[in-house]
Amino acid sequence: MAADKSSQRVTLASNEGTHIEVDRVVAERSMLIKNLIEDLGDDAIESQPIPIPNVNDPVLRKVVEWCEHHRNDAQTSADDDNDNRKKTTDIDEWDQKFMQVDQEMLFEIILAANYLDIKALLDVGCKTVANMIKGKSPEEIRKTFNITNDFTPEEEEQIRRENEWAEDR
Amino acid sequence: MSIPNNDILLLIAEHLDAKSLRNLMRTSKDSYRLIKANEKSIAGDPSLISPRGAVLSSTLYDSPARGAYRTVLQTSSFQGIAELDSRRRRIEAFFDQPAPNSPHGSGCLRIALSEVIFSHRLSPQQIARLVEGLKDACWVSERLTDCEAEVVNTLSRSDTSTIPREKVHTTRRNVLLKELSPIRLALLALLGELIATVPRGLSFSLERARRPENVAKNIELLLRCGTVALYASACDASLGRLEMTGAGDEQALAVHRRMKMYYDIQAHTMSSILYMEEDQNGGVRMQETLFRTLWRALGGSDEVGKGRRVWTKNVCAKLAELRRSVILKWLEE
Repeated sequence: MAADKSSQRVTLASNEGTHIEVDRVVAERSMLIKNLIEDLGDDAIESQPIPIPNVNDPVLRKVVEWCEHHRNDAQTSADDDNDNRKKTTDIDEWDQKFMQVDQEMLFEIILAANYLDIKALLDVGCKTVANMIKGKSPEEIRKTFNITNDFTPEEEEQIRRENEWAEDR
Repeated sequence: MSIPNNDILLLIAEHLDAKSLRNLMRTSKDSYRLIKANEKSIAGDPSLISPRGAVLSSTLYDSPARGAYRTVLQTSSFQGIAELDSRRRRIEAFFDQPAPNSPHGSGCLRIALSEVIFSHRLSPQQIARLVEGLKDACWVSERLTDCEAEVVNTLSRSDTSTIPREKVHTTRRNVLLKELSPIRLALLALLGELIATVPRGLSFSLERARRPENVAKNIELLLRCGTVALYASACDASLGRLEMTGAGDEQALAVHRRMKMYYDIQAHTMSSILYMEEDQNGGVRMQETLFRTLWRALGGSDEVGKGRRVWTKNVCAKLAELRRSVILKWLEE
Protein backbone atom coordinates (compact mmCIF):
# COMPACT_ATOMS: atom_id res chain seq x y z
CA MET A 1 0.00 0.00 0.00
CA ALA A 2 1.28 3.49 -0.86
CA ALA A 3 2.39 5.80 1.98
CA ASP A 4 0.48 8.92 3.03
CA LYS A 5 0.93 11.58 0.30
CA SER A 6 2.29 14.21 2.68
CA SER A 7 5.14 12.00 3.86
CA GLN A 8 5.83 10.30 0.55
CA ARG A 9 9.20 10.77 -1.13
CA VAL A 10 9.84 10.64 -4.87
CA THR A 11 13.07 10.44 -6.86
CA LEU A 12 13.72 12.68 -9.85
CA ALA A 13 16.27 11.64 -12.49
CA SER A 14 18.06 14.41 -14.39
CA ASN A 15 19.15 13.99 -18.02
CA GLU A 16 22.63 13.18 -16.72
CA GLY A 17 21.25 10.23 -14.78
CA THR A 18 21.76 11.74 -11.33
CA HIS A 19 18.98 11.26 -8.78
CA ILE A 20 17.44 13.82 -6.46
CA GLU A 21 15.05 12.66 -3.74
CA VAL A 22 12.36 15.11 -2.66
CA ASP A 23 9.02 15.18 -0.84
CA ARG A 24 6.15 14.40 -3.19
CA VAL A 25 4.44 17.73 -2.35
CA VAL A 26 7.61 19.55 -3.39
CA ALA A 27 7.81 17.65 -6.70
CA GLU A 28 4.15 18.35 -7.32
CA ARG A 29 4.83 22.08 -7.63
CA SER A 30 5.48 20.93 -11.18
CA MET A 31 2.20 20.27 -12.97
CA LEU A 32 4.04 17.96 -15.35
CA ILE A 33 5.27 15.76 -12.49
CA LYS A 34 1.92 15.96 -10.71
CA ASN A 35 0.08 14.70 -13.78
CA LEU A 36 2.72 12.06 -14.36
CA ILE A 37 2.32 10.73 -10.81
CA GLU A 38 -1.45 10.62 -11.23
CA ASP A 39 -1.06 8.69 -14.49
CA LEU A 40 1.56 6.24 -13.21
CA GLY A 41 -0.01 5.67 -9.82
CA ASP A 42 1.47 5.93 -6.30
CA ASP A 43 3.06 2.49 -6.31
CA ALA A 44 4.99 3.05 -9.53
CA ILE A 45 6.73 6.18 -8.29
CA GLU A 46 7.85 4.44 -5.09
CA SER A 47 9.72 1.84 -7.06
CA GLN A 48 11.31 3.90 -9.84
CA PRO A 49 12.68 7.43 -10.39
CA ILE A 50 10.74 9.95 -12.45
CA PRO A 51 12.77 10.84 -15.54
CA ILE A 52 13.23 14.57 -16.32
CA PRO A 53 15.00 14.23 -19.67
CA ASN A 54 15.16 17.93 -20.62
CA VAL A 55 16.83 19.23 -17.46
CA ASN A 56 20.42 18.74 -16.31
CA ASP A 57 21.53 18.14 -12.73
CA PRO A 58 22.55 21.67 -11.63
CA VAL A 59 19.40 23.21 -13.07
CA LEU A 60 17.15 20.51 -11.61
CA ARG A 61 18.74 21.09 -8.19
CA LYS A 62 18.03 24.83 -8.50
CA VAL A 63 14.43 24.13 -9.48
CA VAL A 64 14.02 21.75 -6.53
CA GLU A 65 15.49 24.40 -4.22
CA TRP A 66 12.84 26.86 -5.42
CA CYS A 67 10.06 24.27 -5.04
CA GLU A 68 11.24 23.45 -1.49
CA HIS A 69 11.06 27.12 -0.51
CA HIS A 70 7.62 27.55 -2.07
CA ARG A 71 6.20 24.17 -1.01
CA ASN A 72 3.34 25.74 0.94
CA ASP A 73 2.37 28.40 -1.61
CA ALA A 74 -1.04 28.11 -3.22
CA GLN A 75 -0.93 26.73 -6.73
CA THR A 76 -1.78 29.38 -9.32
CA SER A 77 -4.82 28.69 -11.43
CA ALA A 78 -5.36 29.59 -15.07
CA ASP A 79 -7.50 32.56 -13.93
CA ASP A 80 -4.75 33.86 -11.67
CA ASP A 81 -2.48 33.49 -14.61
CA ASN A 82 -4.65 35.82 -16.66
CA ASP A 83 -5.50 38.34 -13.99
CA ASN A 84 -2.49 38.89 -11.79
CA ARG A 85 0.62 37.69 -13.45
CA LYS A 86 1.42 40.25 -16.05
CA LYS A 87 2.67 43.83 -16.12
CA THR A 88 4.07 43.84 -12.61
CA THR A 89 7.71 43.15 -12.10
CA ASP A 90 7.70 43.03 -8.31
CA ILE A 91 9.64 40.02 -7.10
CA ASP A 92 9.87 38.97 -3.45
CA GLU A 93 13.24 39.23 -1.75
CA TRP A 94 14.00 35.51 -1.54
CA ASP A 95 13.18 35.03 -5.23
CA GLN A 96 15.35 38.00 -6.18
CA LYS A 97 18.32 36.42 -4.40
CA PHE A 98 17.48 33.03 -5.89
CA MET A 99 17.61 34.54 -9.37
CA GLN A 100 21.04 36.11 -8.85
CA VAL A 101 22.70 33.64 -11.19
CA ASP A 102 24.54 34.01 -14.47
CA GLN A 103 22.45 34.63 -17.57
CA GLU A 104 22.87 31.10 -18.90
CA MET A 105 21.56 29.57 -15.67
CA LEU A 106 18.71 32.12 -15.59
CA PHE A 107 17.49 31.07 -19.02
CA GLU A 108 18.01 27.38 -18.16
CA ILE A 109 15.76 27.85 -15.11
CA ILE A 110 13.13 29.58 -17.26
CA LEU A 111 13.24 26.77 -19.82
CA ALA A 112 13.03 24.14 -17.08
CA ALA A 113 10.10 25.94 -15.42
CA ASN A 114 8.36 26.08 -18.79
CA TYR A 115 8.99 22.38 -19.47
CA LEU A 116 8.03 21.26 -15.97
CA ASP A 117 5.02 23.58 -16.00
CA ILE A 118 5.82 25.51 -12.82
CA LYS A 119 3.97 28.76 -13.58
CA ALA A 120 5.11 30.74 -10.57
CA LEU A 121 8.78 29.98 -11.22
CA LEU A 122 8.40 30.75 -14.91
CA ASP A 123 6.82 34.01 -13.89
CA VAL A 124 9.67 34.97 -11.56
CA GLY A 125 12.21 34.11 -14.27
CA CYS A 126 10.44 36.19 -16.92
CA LYS A 127 10.03 39.10 -14.50
CA THR A 128 13.75 38.96 -13.74
CA VAL A 129 14.57 39.23 -17.45
CA ALA A 130 11.93 41.97 -17.88
CA ASN A 131 13.66 43.93 -15.10
CA MET A 132 16.95 43.54 -16.96
CA ILE A 133 15.33 45.10 -20.04
CA LYS A 134 13.60 47.99 -18.30
CA GLY A 135 15.30 51.35 -18.66
CA LYS A 136 17.68 50.11 -21.35
CA SER A 137 17.99 51.47 -24.89
CA PRO A 138 17.69 49.05 -27.85
CA GLU A 139 21.49 49.05 -28.14
CA GLU A 140 21.93 48.20 -24.45
CA ILE A 141 19.36 45.39 -24.74
CA ARG A 142 21.25 43.99 -27.75
CA LYS A 143 24.47 44.01 -25.76
CA THR A 144 22.90 42.38 -22.72
CA PHE A 145 21.28 39.54 -24.64
CA ASN A 146 23.71 39.19 -27.50
CA ILE A 147 21.21 40.24 -30.18
CA THR A 148 22.46 41.22 -33.64
CA ASN A 149 21.06 44.43 -35.07
CA ASP A 150 19.91 43.55 -38.60
CA PHE A 151 18.00 46.78 -39.31
CA THR A 152 19.28 49.26 -41.88
CA PRO A 153 19.46 52.87 -40.59
CA GLU A 154 16.40 53.70 -42.74
CA GLU A 155 14.42 50.81 -41.25
CA GLU A 156 15.46 51.86 -37.76
CA GLU A 157 14.20 55.37 -38.38
CA GLN A 158 10.92 54.10 -39.82
CA ILE A 159 10.34 51.81 -36.84
CA ARG A 160 11.18 54.61 -34.44
CA ARG A 161 8.50 56.77 -36.08
CA GLU A 162 5.95 53.94 -36.12
CA ASN A 163 6.43 53.45 -32.41
CA GLU A 164 6.14 57.00 -31.20
CA TRP A 165 3.11 55.87 -29.19
CA ALA A 166 5.51 54.79 -26.48
CA GLU A 167 7.13 58.20 -26.09
CA ASP A 168 6.61 59.93 -22.76
CA ARG A 169 3.55 62.12 -22.80
CA MET B 1 23.37 33.27 -23.99
CA SER B 2 20.55 35.01 -25.89
CA ILE B 3 16.83 34.74 -25.14
CA PRO B 4 16.17 31.03 -25.80
CA ASN B 5 13.07 30.99 -28.00
CA ASN B 6 10.07 32.96 -29.21
CA ASP B 7 7.68 31.58 -26.57
CA ILE B 8 9.95 32.78 -23.79
CA LEU B 9 10.46 36.16 -25.49
CA LEU B 10 6.67 36.64 -25.60
CA LEU B 11 6.29 35.68 -21.95
CA ILE B 12 8.94 38.26 -21.04
CA ALA B 13 7.28 40.87 -23.28
CA GLU B 14 4.06 40.48 -21.28
CA HIS B 15 5.82 41.94 -18.25
CA LEU B 16 7.15 45.04 -19.98
CA ASP B 17 5.81 48.58 -19.91
CA ALA B 18 5.15 50.36 -23.21
CA LYS B 19 8.53 52.04 -23.49
CA SER B 20 10.57 48.90 -22.72
CA LEU B 21 8.43 46.90 -25.13
CA ARG B 22 9.11 49.45 -27.84
CA ASN B 23 12.86 49.27 -27.16
CA LEU B 24 12.83 45.46 -27.24
CA MET B 25 10.99 45.56 -30.58
CA ARG B 26 13.69 47.81 -31.98
CA THR B 27 16.54 45.41 -31.22
CA SER B 28 16.15 43.15 -34.30
CA LYS B 29 13.85 42.25 -37.16
CA ASP B 30 12.87 38.95 -35.51
CA SER B 31 11.92 40.64 -32.24
CA TYR B 32 9.98 43.29 -34.13
CA ARG B 33 8.00 40.82 -36.25
CA LEU B 34 7.29 38.51 -33.33
CA ILE B 35 6.07 41.20 -30.95
CA LYS B 36 4.10 43.03 -33.64
CA ALA B 37 2.42 39.77 -34.69
CA ASN B 38 1.39 39.09 -31.10
CA GLU B 39 0.26 42.62 -30.25
CA LYS B 40 -3.20 41.54 -29.12
CA SER B 41 -2.08 38.82 -26.74
CA ILE B 42 0.68 40.96 -25.23
CA ALA B 43 -1.41 44.11 -24.91
CA GLY B 44 -4.73 42.48 -24.02
CA ASP B 45 -3.94 42.26 -20.37
CA PRO B 46 -6.84 42.66 -17.95
CA SER B 47 -4.56 43.35 -14.97
CA LEU B 48 -4.08 46.88 -16.24
CA ILE B 49 -6.84 48.91 -14.71
CA SER B 50 -8.69 49.13 -17.95
CA PRO B 51 -12.26 49.29 -19.05
CA ARG B 52 -13.64 46.84 -21.53
CA GLY B 53 -13.02 47.53 -25.18
CA ALA B 54 -11.65 50.99 -25.70
CA VAL B 55 -10.17 54.04 -24.01
CA LEU B 56 -9.95 57.70 -24.90
CA SER B 57 -6.49 58.99 -25.71
CA SER B 58 -4.90 61.64 -23.51
CA THR B 59 -3.05 62.89 -26.55
CA LEU B 60 -5.11 65.50 -28.34
CA TYR B 61 -5.55 65.83 -32.06
CA ASP B 62 -6.46 68.90 -34.12
CA SER B 63 -9.49 69.12 -36.33
CA PRO B 64 -10.89 72.27 -37.97
CA ALA B 65 -14.43 71.09 -37.21
CA ARG B 66 -13.95 69.80 -33.65
CA GLY B 67 -10.94 71.76 -32.40
CA ALA B 68 -8.79 69.69 -30.04
CA TYR B 69 -10.24 66.22 -29.59
CA ARG B 70 -9.33 62.82 -28.11
CA THR B 71 -9.29 59.72 -30.23
CA VAL B 72 -10.41 56.17 -29.39
CA LEU B 73 -7.77 53.53 -28.70
CA GLN B 74 -8.32 49.79 -28.40
CA THR B 75 -7.18 48.38 -25.05
CA SER B 76 -5.69 45.39 -26.86
CA SER B 77 -3.15 47.50 -28.70
CA PHE B 78 0.24 48.95 -27.89
CA GLN B 79 -1.29 52.43 -28.11
CA GLY B 80 -3.77 51.28 -25.49
CA ILE B 81 -0.97 50.13 -23.17
CA ALA B 82 0.90 53.39 -23.71
CA GLU B 83 -2.25 55.35 -22.83
CA LEU B 84 -2.74 53.41 -19.60
CA ASP B 85 0.95 53.86 -18.72
CA SER B 86 0.59 57.55 -19.37
CA ARG B 87 -2.48 57.76 -17.10
CA ARG B 88 -0.68 55.88 -14.36
CA ARG B 89 2.30 58.26 -14.47
CA ARG B 90 0.03 61.30 -14.58
CA ILE B 91 -2.09 60.19 -11.62
CA GLU B 92 0.98 59.35 -9.51
CA ALA B 93 2.55 62.71 -10.39
CA PHE B 94 -0.54 64.67 -9.26
CA PHE B 95 0.04 63.35 -5.74
CA ASP B 96 3.85 63.63 -5.69
CA GLN B 97 5.40 65.77 -2.99
CA PRO B 98 5.76 69.16 -4.70
CA ALA B 99 9.32 70.05 -5.66
CA PRO B 100 10.92 73.02 -7.43
CA ASN B 101 11.21 72.59 -11.21
CA SER B 102 8.91 69.56 -11.26
CA PRO B 103 6.79 69.29 -14.43
CA HIS B 104 3.49 71.17 -14.51
CA GLY B 105 0.70 69.37 -12.71
CA SER B 106 3.10 67.47 -10.45
CA GLY B 107 2.11 67.61 -6.82
CA CYS B 108 -0.87 69.90 -7.53
CA LEU B 109 -3.43 67.66 -5.82
CA ARG B 110 -1.14 67.14 -2.81
CA ILE B 111 -1.07 70.94 -2.40
CA ALA B 112 -4.82 71.25 -2.92
CA LEU B 113 -5.43 68.50 -0.35
CA SER B 114 -3.51 70.45 2.28
CA GLU B 115 -6.11 73.22 1.85
CA VAL B 116 -9.00 70.88 2.71
CA ILE B 117 -10.05 71.83 6.20
CA PHE B 118 -10.66 68.36 7.59
CA SER B 119 -7.29 67.07 6.34
CA HIS B 120 -5.56 68.91 9.21
CA ARG B 121 -7.26 66.61 11.70
CA LEU B 122 -6.04 63.42 10.04
CA SER B 123 -3.13 61.22 11.08
CA PRO B 124 -0.32 60.53 8.55
CA GLN B 125 -1.79 57.03 8.06
CA GLN B 126 -5.23 58.48 7.35
CA ILE B 127 -3.74 60.99 4.89
CA ALA B 128 -1.95 58.13 3.11
CA ARG B 129 -5.22 56.20 2.92
CA LEU B 130 -7.04 59.27 1.65
CA VAL B 131 -4.41 59.79 -1.08
CA GLU B 132 -4.79 56.15 -2.17
CA GLY B 133 -8.57 56.63 -2.23
CA LEU B 134 -8.20 59.77 -4.34
CA LYS B 135 -5.92 57.94 -6.78
CA ASP B 136 -8.64 55.32 -7.07
CA ALA B 137 -11.13 58.14 -7.71
CA CYS B 138 -8.87 59.33 -10.55
CA TRP B 139 -9.12 55.85 -12.11
CA VAL B 140 -12.88 55.82 -11.61
CA SER B 141 -13.11 59.17 -13.41
CA GLU B 142 -11.08 57.71 -16.29
CA ARG B 143 -13.47 54.76 -16.40
CA LEU B 144 -16.45 57.11 -16.60
CA THR B 145 -14.80 59.09 -19.39
CA ASP B 146 -14.04 55.94 -21.35
CA CYS B 147 -17.78 55.28 -21.68
CA GLU B 148 -17.50 57.73 -24.57
CA ALA B 149 -14.85 55.55 -26.24
CA GLU B 150 -17.08 52.50 -25.85
CA VAL B 151 -20.01 54.31 -27.40
CA VAL B 152 -17.94 55.59 -30.34
CA ASN B 153 -16.58 52.07 -30.77
CA THR B 154 -20.01 50.44 -30.74
CA LEU B 155 -21.62 53.00 -33.02
CA SER B 156 -18.84 52.84 -35.57
CA ARG B 157 -19.26 49.06 -35.78
CA SER B 158 -23.00 49.08 -36.23
CA ASP B 159 -25.47 50.95 -38.34
CA THR B 160 -27.04 52.89 -35.50
CA SER B 161 -25.74 56.32 -36.32
CA THR B 162 -29.16 57.79 -35.67
CA ILE B 163 -28.70 57.25 -31.92
CA PRO B 164 -27.46 60.50 -30.40
CA ARG B 165 -23.98 59.64 -29.18
CA GLU B 166 -23.99 62.14 -26.35
CA LYS B 167 -27.26 60.73 -25.01
CA VAL B 168 -25.95 57.15 -24.98
CA HIS B 169 -22.70 58.30 -23.46
CA THR B 170 -24.34 60.24 -20.64
CA THR B 171 -26.77 57.42 -19.92
CA ARG B 172 -23.90 54.93 -19.61
CA ARG B 173 -21.98 57.21 -17.30
CA ASN B 174 -25.04 57.80 -15.16
CA VAL B 175 -25.60 54.06 -14.84
CA LEU B 176 -21.98 53.58 -13.84
CA LEU B 177 -22.12 56.44 -11.34
CA LYS B 178 -25.18 54.97 -9.67
CA GLU B 179 -23.40 51.64 -9.26
CA LEU B 180 -20.47 53.13 -7.34
CA SER B 181 -20.15 52.68 -3.58
CA PRO B 182 -20.80 55.73 -1.35
CA ILE B 183 -17.09 56.09 -0.51
CA ARG B 184 -16.09 56.12 -4.17
CA LEU B 185 -18.76 58.71 -4.90
CA ALA B 186 -17.62 60.81 -1.97
CA LEU B 187 -14.00 60.62 -3.08
CA LEU B 188 -15.00 61.59 -6.62
CA ALA B 189 -16.79 64.63 -5.26
CA LEU B 190 -13.75 65.55 -3.14
CA LEU B 191 -11.44 65.09 -6.13
CA GLY B 192 -13.61 67.44 -8.20
CA GLU B 193 -13.46 70.01 -5.43
CA LEU B 194 -9.67 69.66 -5.17
CA ILE B 195 -9.36 70.21 -8.91
CA ALA B 196 -11.40 73.39 -8.57
CA THR B 197 -8.92 74.72 -6.02
CA VAL B 198 -5.69 73.88 -7.85
CA PRO B 199 -3.88 77.22 -8.25
CA ARG B 200 -3.87 78.51 -11.84
CA GLY B 201 -1.69 81.48 -12.67
CA LEU B 202 -0.97 84.72 -10.86
CA SER B 203 -4.57 85.94 -10.78
CA PHE B 204 -5.71 82.80 -8.92
CA SER B 205 -7.96 83.37 -5.94
CA LEU B 206 -8.87 80.54 -3.57
CA GLU B 207 -12.05 82.34 -2.60
CA ARG B 208 -13.17 82.53 -6.24
CA ALA B 209 -12.10 78.91 -6.83
CA ARG B 210 -14.36 77.77 -3.99
CA ARG B 211 -17.45 79.44 -5.40
CA PRO B 212 -20.24 76.88 -5.85
CA GLU B 213 -20.46 77.32 -9.63
CA ASN B 214 -16.72 76.74 -9.99
CA VAL B 215 -16.77 73.63 -7.79
CA ALA B 216 -19.79 72.27 -9.68
CA LYS B 217 -18.14 73.00 -13.01
CA ASN B 218 -14.97 71.17 -12.01
CA ILE B 219 -16.80 68.13 -10.66
CA GLU B 220 -18.73 67.94 -13.92
CA LEU B 221 -15.48 68.37 -15.90
CA LEU B 222 -13.83 65.56 -13.94
CA LEU B 223 -16.77 63.22 -14.53
CA ARG B 224 -16.79 64.02 -18.24
CA CYS B 225 -13.08 64.28 -19.09
CA GLY B 226 -11.28 62.30 -16.38
CA THR B 227 -7.88 63.49 -15.16
CA VAL B 228 -7.11 65.03 -18.56
CA ALA B 229 -9.28 67.93 -17.33
CA LEU B 230 -6.77 68.60 -14.56
CA TYR B 231 -3.77 68.08 -16.82
CA ALA B 232 -5.26 70.39 -19.45
CA SER B 233 -5.90 73.04 -16.85
CA ALA B 234 -2.29 72.74 -15.61
CA CYS B 235 -1.10 73.16 -19.20
CA ASP B 236 -3.41 76.14 -19.57
CA ALA B 237 -1.89 77.69 -16.47
CA SER B 238 1.71 77.19 -17.59
CA LEU B 239 1.26 78.12 -21.27
CA GLY B 240 1.56 81.87 -20.70
CA ARG B 241 4.73 81.41 -18.67
CA LEU B 242 6.29 79.16 -21.33
CA GLU B 243 5.42 81.62 -24.09
CA MET B 244 6.76 84.58 -22.19
CA THR B 245 10.02 83.02 -21.05
CA GLY B 246 10.60 80.96 -24.20
CA ALA B 247 11.29 77.98 -21.95
CA GLY B 248 9.38 75.43 -24.02
CA ASP B 249 10.32 74.07 -27.44
CA GLU B 250 7.83 74.21 -30.32
CA GLN B 251 6.56 70.68 -29.72
CA ALA B 252 5.90 71.35 -26.02
CA LEU B 253 4.16 74.62 -26.85
CA ALA B 254 1.97 72.89 -29.45
CA VAL B 255 0.92 70.28 -26.84
CA HIS B 256 0.15 73.05 -24.33
CA ARG B 257 -1.89 75.01 -26.87
CA ARG B 258 -3.95 71.98 -27.83
CA MET B 259 -4.52 71.19 -24.14
CA LYS B 260 -5.60 74.78 -23.51
CA MET B 261 -7.99 74.61 -26.47
CA TYR B 262 -9.45 71.36 -25.15
CA TYR B 263 -9.87 72.81 -21.67
CA ASP B 264 -11.50 75.96 -23.05
CA ILE B 265 -13.98 73.91 -25.14
CA GLN B 266 -14.90 71.67 -22.21
CA ALA B 267 -15.14 74.52 -19.72
CA HIS B 268 -17.28 76.49 -22.15
CA THR B 269 -19.64 73.51 -22.53
CA MET B 270 -19.97 73.23 -18.76
CA SER B 271 -20.59 76.95 -18.40
CA SER B 272 -23.29 76.86 -21.06
CA ILE B 273 -25.01 73.97 -19.30
CA LEU B 274 -24.96 75.88 -16.06
CA TYR B 275 -26.12 79.02 -17.77
CA MET B 276 -28.93 77.26 -19.59
CA GLU B 277 -30.02 75.68 -16.39
CA GLU B 278 -30.20 78.98 -14.63
CA ASP B 279 -31.90 80.55 -17.59
CA GLN B 280 -34.48 77.89 -18.31
CA ASN B 281 -35.72 77.27 -14.82
CA GLY B 282 -34.55 73.66 -14.40
CA GLY B 283 -34.74 72.39 -17.98
CA VAL B 284 -33.99 69.01 -19.50
CA ARG B 285 -30.23 69.41 -19.69
CA MET B 286 -30.03 69.40 -15.95
CA GLN B 287 -31.43 65.89 -15.86
CA GLU B 288 -28.37 64.72 -17.71
CA THR B 289 -25.62 66.36 -15.73
CA LEU B 290 -23.39 63.98 -13.87
CA PHE B 291 -23.08 66.32 -10.92
CA ARG B 292 -26.79 65.84 -10.32
CA THR B 293 -26.47 62.05 -10.50
CA LEU B 294 -23.58 62.20 -8.09
CA TRP B 295 -25.53 64.44 -5.77
CA ARG B 296 -28.53 62.09 -5.72
CA ALA B 297 -26.39 58.95 -5.42
CA LEU B 298 -24.71 60.46 -2.37
CA GLY B 299 -28.08 60.93 -0.77
CA GLY B 300 -28.81 64.54 -1.71
CA SER B 301 -32.40 65.68 -1.90
CA ASP B 302 -34.23 65.01 -5.15
CA GLU B 303 -35.87 68.39 -4.83
CA VAL B 304 -32.67 70.19 -5.69
CA GLY B 305 -32.71 71.29 -9.30
CA LYS B 306 -36.37 72.07 -9.48
CA GLY B 307 -35.78 75.59 -8.36
CA ARG B 308 -34.42 78.40 -10.46
CA ARG B 309 -30.80 78.28 -9.31
CA VAL B 310 -29.39 74.79 -9.15
CA TRP B 311 -25.78 75.47 -8.26
CA THR B 312 -26.50 77.26 -5.05
CA LYS B 313 -24.10 77.64 -2.19
CA ASN B 314 -26.41 75.41 -0.18
CA VAL B 315 -26.19 72.49 -2.61
CA CYS B 316 -22.41 72.62 -2.70
CA ALA B 317 -22.20 73.00 1.07
CA LYS B 318 -24.57 70.07 1.52
CA LEU B 319 -22.59 67.96 -0.96
CA ALA B 320 -19.38 68.81 0.91
CA GLU B 321 -21.03 67.80 4.18
CA LEU B 322 -22.28 64.49 2.74
CA ARG B 323 -18.93 63.52 1.29
CA ARG B 324 -17.03 64.66 4.40
CA SER B 325 -19.08 62.43 6.69
CA VAL B 326 -18.73 59.41 4.37
CA ILE B 327 -14.97 59.93 4.01
CA LEU B 328 -14.31 60.52 7.72
CA LYS B 329 -16.29 57.40 8.64
CA TRP B 330 -14.26 55.42 6.09
CA LEU B 331 -10.97 56.80 7.42
CA GLU B 332 -11.88 55.88 10.98
CA GLU B 333 -12.66 52.25 10.12
